[in-house]
Amino acid sequence: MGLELVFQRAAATGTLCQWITIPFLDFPGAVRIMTEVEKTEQMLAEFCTHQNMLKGYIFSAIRDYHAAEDMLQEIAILITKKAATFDFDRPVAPWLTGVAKIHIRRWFQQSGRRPLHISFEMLDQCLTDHEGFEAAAMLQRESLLVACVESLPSKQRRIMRLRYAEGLNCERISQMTSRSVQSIYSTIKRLKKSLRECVNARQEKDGE
Amino acid sequence: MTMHDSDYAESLLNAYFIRDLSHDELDMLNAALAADAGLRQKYAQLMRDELLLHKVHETKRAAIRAVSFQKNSRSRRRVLALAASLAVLLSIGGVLFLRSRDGAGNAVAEPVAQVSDYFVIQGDAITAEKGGEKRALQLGAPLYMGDEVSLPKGSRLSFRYLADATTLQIRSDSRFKLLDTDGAKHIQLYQGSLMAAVDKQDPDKPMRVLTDESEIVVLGTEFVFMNDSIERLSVRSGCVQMNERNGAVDQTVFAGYYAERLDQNILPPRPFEEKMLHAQASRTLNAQALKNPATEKYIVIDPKRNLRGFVSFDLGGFSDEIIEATLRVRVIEFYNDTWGEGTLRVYQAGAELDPLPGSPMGSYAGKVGAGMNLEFKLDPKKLTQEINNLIIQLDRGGNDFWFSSNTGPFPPELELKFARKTTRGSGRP
Repeated sequence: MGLELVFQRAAATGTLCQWITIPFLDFPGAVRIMTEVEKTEQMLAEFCTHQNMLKGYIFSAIRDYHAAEDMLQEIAILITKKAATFDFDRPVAPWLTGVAKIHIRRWFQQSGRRPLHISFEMLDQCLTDHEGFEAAAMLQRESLLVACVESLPSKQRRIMRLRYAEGLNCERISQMTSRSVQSIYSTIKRLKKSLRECVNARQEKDGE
Repeated sequence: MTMHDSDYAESLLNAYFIRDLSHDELDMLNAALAADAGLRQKYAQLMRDELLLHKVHETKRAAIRAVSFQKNSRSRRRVLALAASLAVLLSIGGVLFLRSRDGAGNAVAEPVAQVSDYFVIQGDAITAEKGGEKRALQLGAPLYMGDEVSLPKGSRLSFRYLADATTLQIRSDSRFKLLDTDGAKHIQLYQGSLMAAVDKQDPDKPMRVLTDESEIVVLGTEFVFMNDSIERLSVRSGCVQMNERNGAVDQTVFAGYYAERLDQNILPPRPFEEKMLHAQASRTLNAQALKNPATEKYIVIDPKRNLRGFVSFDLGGFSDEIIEATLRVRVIEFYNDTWGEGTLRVYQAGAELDPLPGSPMGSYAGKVGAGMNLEFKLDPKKLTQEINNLIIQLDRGGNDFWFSSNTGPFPPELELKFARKTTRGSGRP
């Protein structure tokens, strides 16, 4: 057998996560030490496992969806380069969030925004062990959410689109819809709650 | 935690992704999260659903935008990010390099340059198109021969050739193409402006920048080339040759000189000098109309409340002819407000700080976002060699703007290019 590169897509994330599996030549008497390639492969695998949590961690701090995606990609490239020198006896997830913290602090400095976010200590406690970020669970929830959003009346769908697709704040949406800022704020809060209830109900029904 | 405190903490949690919490509110929320495991669980679920809401709407939006994605429906930028990871694998393991092969196993072109910096307003994209396929450019994205790149208003792009240290900065509202050549860098500039710092080139394969009528030949230099209502080449270091495309005339332009095309002719080069002035004064006019009066570090422009911007520059002491004038103001965030849209116009101010009648000195129409440098090309003939008081106002119907004032982090700037007084000649200093 020789070197063989197998390129397979990780279960159902559809985004950044892709696997590269490289079986190695076996020879008698060999002592199994991780090569650089194996280390990189393992680091990528760990990244795939934790990428939803990491994205949530970044997003929780900077609350800018596109910037969070960009930062996630920068971190992906960085950790791949550092894989060769990483000690895999250490847990990877805290190291990943540590790298994210550095990038987040730098982002606040460069963007000039005020770092008003839930503390890193609390984000560590809230997110790093949460099971809801597992890839298959996220994908299932996403598809249910699509159906729930589609079932909203058109005016409510428009407000959600202005908020989440166009990235507008409540004040701007209030100007566009001729409603008060407080009314928009309450509507968005209410819609998010009803969408969550819709998704949970569909999930329970699917589980039956 | 009492029931009341618990309800309040939950309301803060719900508000976290909708508005900025105050310092006190954040302290309260952090304390509540530290004390209540159930609240931490709830936060994780809220955050997960917030991410999914963005993803669901973003996916829908991307499907109807002009930028197309790969046939297998993966985002090309994510594939590029993975490709960077694969490149690292290749360099350390000599593994088969999948990136260089398409699905049929055919070799695809190698990149010739890479994006080193960019800015684009949220919702817009700087795109590269080749062979009918469009892709959005991000930091680190490769550029290939044949790519036609379009920059929307308010954006900017810097890229670096991989073969050497040549870098280019492309300004807002520009369009250019990287042309296929035999190892030489050729750029077709359809519209807009670029600034280049060019590493020393092979004399047999000089870099060229082309418009429909002109050609700039570059061996190693730093220059600015503008192809808008006028074609103007300004050389900051080294020397550049500016030719007619039909080869009839060529001009050699040395450092500190500029050449321009007027009508059908390339005029002989003239010396120039560049100066950057900071505003000596700036403020919001009619600021008493603001409910929460803006601090001195903002210039607020909003026609609904009759708020206008005022900036003042002292041009006394400059006697040379001004050939270019660019007013630059930085769009900044004010609380949650991060963008504006509309038509802004710049006027000379009269005695009562109202705009003088007549046409504006400069204007900008479009959208802006926080972090963007908004540039007005001013009519240099309307500037006087004394203190110039300028009014910036927004047409009715626009969304308000927030700029940094001269006491803010990014003072307004006036970039001037002067034609030095000399007899016209070959451009040799």
